[in-house]
Amino acid sequence: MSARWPWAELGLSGKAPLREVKRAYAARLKEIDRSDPEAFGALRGAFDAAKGRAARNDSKRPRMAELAAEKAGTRAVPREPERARAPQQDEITDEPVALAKPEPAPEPAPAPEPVAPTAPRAKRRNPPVPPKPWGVAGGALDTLLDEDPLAAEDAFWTNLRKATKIWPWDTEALERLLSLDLAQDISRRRDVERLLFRNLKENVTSPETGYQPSIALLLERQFGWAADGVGLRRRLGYEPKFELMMHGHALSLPKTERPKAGTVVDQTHRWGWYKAGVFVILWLVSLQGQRISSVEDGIIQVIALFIFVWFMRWIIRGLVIGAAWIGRITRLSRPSRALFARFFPETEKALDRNPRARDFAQFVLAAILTALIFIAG
Amino acid sequence: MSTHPPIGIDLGTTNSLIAVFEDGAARLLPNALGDVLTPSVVSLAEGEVLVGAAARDRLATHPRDTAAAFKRAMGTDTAFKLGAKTLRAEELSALVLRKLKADAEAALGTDLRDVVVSVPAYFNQSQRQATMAACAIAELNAVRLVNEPTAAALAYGLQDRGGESQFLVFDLGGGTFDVTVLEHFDGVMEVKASSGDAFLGGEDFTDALAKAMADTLGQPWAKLHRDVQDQLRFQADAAKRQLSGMEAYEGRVKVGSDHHDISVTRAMFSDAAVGLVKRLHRPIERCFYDSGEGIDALDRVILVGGATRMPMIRQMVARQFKMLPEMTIDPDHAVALGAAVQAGLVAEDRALDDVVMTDVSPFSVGIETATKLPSGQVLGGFFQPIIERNTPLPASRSRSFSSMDDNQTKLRVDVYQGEAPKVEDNVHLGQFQLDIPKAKAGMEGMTVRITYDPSGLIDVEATVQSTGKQAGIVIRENVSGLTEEQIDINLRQMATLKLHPREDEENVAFLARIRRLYEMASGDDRSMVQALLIQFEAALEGQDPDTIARLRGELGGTLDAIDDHYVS
Repeated sequence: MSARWPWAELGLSGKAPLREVKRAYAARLKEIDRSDPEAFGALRGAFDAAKGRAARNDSKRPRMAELAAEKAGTRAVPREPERARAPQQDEITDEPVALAKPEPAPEPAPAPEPVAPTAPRAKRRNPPVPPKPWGVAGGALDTLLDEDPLAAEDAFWTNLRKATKIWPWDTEALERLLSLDLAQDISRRRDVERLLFRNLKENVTSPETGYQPSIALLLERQFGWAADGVGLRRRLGYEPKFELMMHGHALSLPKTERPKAGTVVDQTHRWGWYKAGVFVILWLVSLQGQRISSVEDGIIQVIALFIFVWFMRWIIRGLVIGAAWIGRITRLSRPSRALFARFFPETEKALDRNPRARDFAQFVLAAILTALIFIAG
Repeated sequence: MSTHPPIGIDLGTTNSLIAVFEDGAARLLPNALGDVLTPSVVSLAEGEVLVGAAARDRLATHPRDTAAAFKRAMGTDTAFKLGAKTLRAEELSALVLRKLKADAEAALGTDLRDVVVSVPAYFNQSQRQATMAACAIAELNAVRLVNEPTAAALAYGLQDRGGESQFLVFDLGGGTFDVTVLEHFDGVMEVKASSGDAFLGGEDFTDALAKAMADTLGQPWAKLHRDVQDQLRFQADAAKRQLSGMEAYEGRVKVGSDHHDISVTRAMFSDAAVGLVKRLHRPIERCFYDSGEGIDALDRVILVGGATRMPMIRQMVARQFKMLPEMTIDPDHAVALGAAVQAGLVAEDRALDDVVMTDVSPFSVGIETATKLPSGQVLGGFFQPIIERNTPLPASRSRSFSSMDDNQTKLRVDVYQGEAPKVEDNVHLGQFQLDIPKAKAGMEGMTVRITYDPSGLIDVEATVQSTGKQAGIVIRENVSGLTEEQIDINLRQMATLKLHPREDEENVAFLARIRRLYEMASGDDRSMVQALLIQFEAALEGQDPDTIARLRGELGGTLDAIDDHYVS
């Protein structure tokens, strides 16, 4: 962040090893006013920059876990064969994990199981595997990973490509692939996510109308795009049309699966009683000048009125959309909205914020129109 | 040292604790029953409020007058019915806080005023505000909210001040899950990233087990009577505890007039909770991505929260991080102790001169934007983060935005908190407008600067680039979101709810326990418990404290035996 010589900010004379950078940062941090975002931000930026340079130069920092492991002559915890991982691209400091080599997996170290001595290894659950739709069955892939990681990796990607080749994707196959232990590896997951995003972008021609809910559901369950768009944007880096894709995703996702957004108190207001009241008034108005000879007549009239109001609401909805469209073309909507906002500021805000208020407004409009028709008729 | 010692409170879903920072160390304060854990359960009995163990026992005997796990409803409109009263989560929490306050004042012999209260790191603004409201209603001045995993890390960090390590706090409480990566060096406790799930905790595991138990009864959960559900939940809770040490659990429930034996094994529990354990992975993944560190960079993994006692959780952690997790401080105590340390830091306690803590923003903060499609159609409601989550605090960031239409005269700034790409899935914090001169689309613009303070203050300021005109809004989590009037109304309402007197609490708790056992027992046991009840009530009538205390001691053993028989 700080374009200046970062070490000056830390009170160092020049490039220093990580240990010293940290010590200097700790000392400076105790001096500055930590509630001042400018001062803190400057120090933080310098710290990050100096740390970055130091990390690149430093020989690897010995870690406590490694030291302990060296002492014990083995890693603290045996690696689970089914969780064996390929080397991760992100972890630059990590040495390649020996297990990734295509040689027979080593015997798990005889060190005792760490937590529950009796924990049966057999408890590992393979997802229920239906007859294999591809060369290697889902559960078998995990087993294959123990024996031949490269082949398993290969089979995984082949199957993934096969499942996404034809649009719409084979979501069942994808779901099964992505719930494999193999697919839980963080860096592999990220690659899969990127591949799916790009594939989706190619296949969806107009995200503003959305796509298959089953696909949205799969993506949400596996990667949480609607719950964590900020994270996705960070993971993907710059992607053209990113926002549009996110819009399409949110649109395609069933309402129940949308992330919980804390609370908006207003939204719980359903206007139910208001609607009932408007309906009763309408009914009383429509009674005028008409004879009701029997109870059935009354019931029939209520039902007819109900259907009529329903019908009017759809017409109004169409009219509103039409008006918005015409407004956009003629650019008339802005002044009229400004006028409305001036005279009814609260209503405008409610209509703007609250979909239920909008719904209610349409209902009232429908009711007024119905009443007018009745009176005129 | 001032007359008001620094106080930290852990307001938990299942249990609440209060701790004081004195003489350079944090110390938990016991309640009237001598326990440091006060169950976060509230019950109404004859116009009086019971909080703690007595209320928890009444959960079995008077479920309609009792409320538990209300922390999960913080920041929502959910109302809890207790007898004739209807209370909101913050009011119930305020009752728990009042109880803690009374206990701490008795233990310390001074008045309490300023406190630090811990909240799950993944609590959003409205949940934090509800917590502040609870403090206001309890007449406590919460000077700071501290994130639970950060507090726990402080408690651990104080144990070895000179140490240097990179560690992870895995905090699975009764109702929430937080995971935080921290680095500790030279007295600096630096939070690198936090993530979590505000709706996942030990209670969910209990529910999952209770449902599995219902399956063994051969009846679907939804069709069971509420009383049976409560019983099953009670049994599931007991089973959950016992399965931490043993392989199997035997219990019994009463359906109608029949008693059914139920037995659960550890494997059964694990199977029932597979889905929940899977949900734990996502926040962990997110936290590592944000911290920029790999799992291999960790030196230690610390377990916090009572739910981490479950073997399946410890196995999962050991497997995921490839190391043995630590719990050298009781996982139920760590957060409260750390909150007290934070209170000491805020009060600038001398003993903490060389300790500095930096935290991060758990959520992104940004504004709403719209985008124009090539077709000319405008799509709105996009969330544009300005301060991204896990930025070290205090932070100040700015970003520029431009007008979208020709001759646009206003720019509206809607501030949101959250991670979802669409604003409707995020939490709305505030709104303001800005006038701009008329110009071609995209020619006018504003710079929005957001400043986020560790005390929870969010300052949003927008400047029009051409005219330099400014507008802004200040959002605080540090206020309750209630006006003075509302607090007044609440206080008056609360004044009608009297806490049961402290001196008598042991007896009330004891009585509640006998009644619960009476409810559970069957046949001969039942008449025996009834005899005990009559005996104890007679002693209470006599009003001789010595006799009552002696009888409590004598009967205690019998009750333990019955409890063992029915619950385990």
